[in-house]
Amino acid sequence: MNFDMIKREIILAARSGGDWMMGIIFFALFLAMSVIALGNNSASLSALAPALVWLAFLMSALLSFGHIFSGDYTDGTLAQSLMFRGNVLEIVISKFIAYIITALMPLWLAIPIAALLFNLSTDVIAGLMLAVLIGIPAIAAYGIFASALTMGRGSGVLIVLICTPFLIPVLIFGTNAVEVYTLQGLWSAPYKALFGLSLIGCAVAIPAASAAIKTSFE
Amino acid sequence: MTLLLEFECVSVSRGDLVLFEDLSIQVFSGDVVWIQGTNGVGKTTLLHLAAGLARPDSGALKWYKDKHSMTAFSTVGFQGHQDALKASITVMEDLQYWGDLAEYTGDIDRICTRIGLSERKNIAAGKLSAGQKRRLALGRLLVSQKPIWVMDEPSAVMDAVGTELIDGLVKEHVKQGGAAIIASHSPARKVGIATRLLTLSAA
Repeated sequence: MNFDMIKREIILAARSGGDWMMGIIFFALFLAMSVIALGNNSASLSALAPALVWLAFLMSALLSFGHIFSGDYTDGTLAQSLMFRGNVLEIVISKFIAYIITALMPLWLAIPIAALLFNLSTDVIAGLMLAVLIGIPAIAAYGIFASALTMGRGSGVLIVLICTPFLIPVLIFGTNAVEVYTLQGLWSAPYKALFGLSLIGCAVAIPAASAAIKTSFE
Repeated sequence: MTLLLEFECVSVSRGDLVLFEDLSIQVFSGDVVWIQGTNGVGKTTLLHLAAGLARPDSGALKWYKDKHSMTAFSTVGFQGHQDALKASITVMEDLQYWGDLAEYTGDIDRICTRIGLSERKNIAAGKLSAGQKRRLALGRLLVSQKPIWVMDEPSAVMDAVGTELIDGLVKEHVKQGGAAIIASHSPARKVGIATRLLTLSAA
């Protein structure tokens, strides 16, 4: 992990003219359109809300995966970082943390928007935000991995195909976690499973991403 | 004269096309190796090999620092086709960032002046001209403090003053015990005391 690299990513996001907000806008539009499509029955809406929020979150995350490494690869920054530090894992971990800070955390903070749209209780919102927070490392790790594999090939479809199988368990336990939160709280099985998925994601996908980058320079 | 970089019987091919076969080069401190050849003959591939950004099909490359064998990344500074700049980062911030990564302790302001961008140091890289961007990329070579400079067409977008700047920087660098490997289309110029010419031609 390199603080200079993380700081630079945050500066770049702040100066991007609102590019980092694209995910939030997509997220809010997805939810608003779901409300319109599902009609005005507020009882059935709030039952569907956790699943819809999870879907919206994963979809907007999927949209941003393509940009994690492709810009740095095509403009030569990745090669220079490699020449300067000689340590791919350090670059990948810095990217991972910067990606969470600049893309997933703003999205996470937008989750309460759903409370307004679906008329959710504080309990459900709390359960939802905790579940997503615990799942974020897994989402980011697989996103980094897919981005590292496909950089320079400009293939958005490939990223979706690579990531989706890994994100499905997160979706299953994530929606399940919200259901049991009101009864069993944070120490229930689905939250533990989500936490486990995040640990596996970090342990497997981050080294795999650095291996993918290494091979692309050989 | 200390050995900095060695190509040992390096062969590279792209599909059926053999780019180099049994290429052996030794680069010593003080050397400037000037690489010439037509488009597509393998100049950039050769530079990527020297920078450790590509691997040969057979043969080996060795990098040395104080007579110890090292990895490419600890001895080579690379200036490629891409300037690796971000449009919203200013000249000063960019040099400061790469300087921090390389643990450069010198004065960044002086580097700005040396590359002729002292009046542009608070301008975002996206607003610089192509030649100024290349100057900034040269500044990155300076803060990297690496003994071997690998440069791909450094003077392609430069004016006469810029070309002189490159020659000056390279001359200074090799005088301090470094070496430079330069691929260029412009006729080889004598830079420093030991300029060697390597002409690649299709087999």
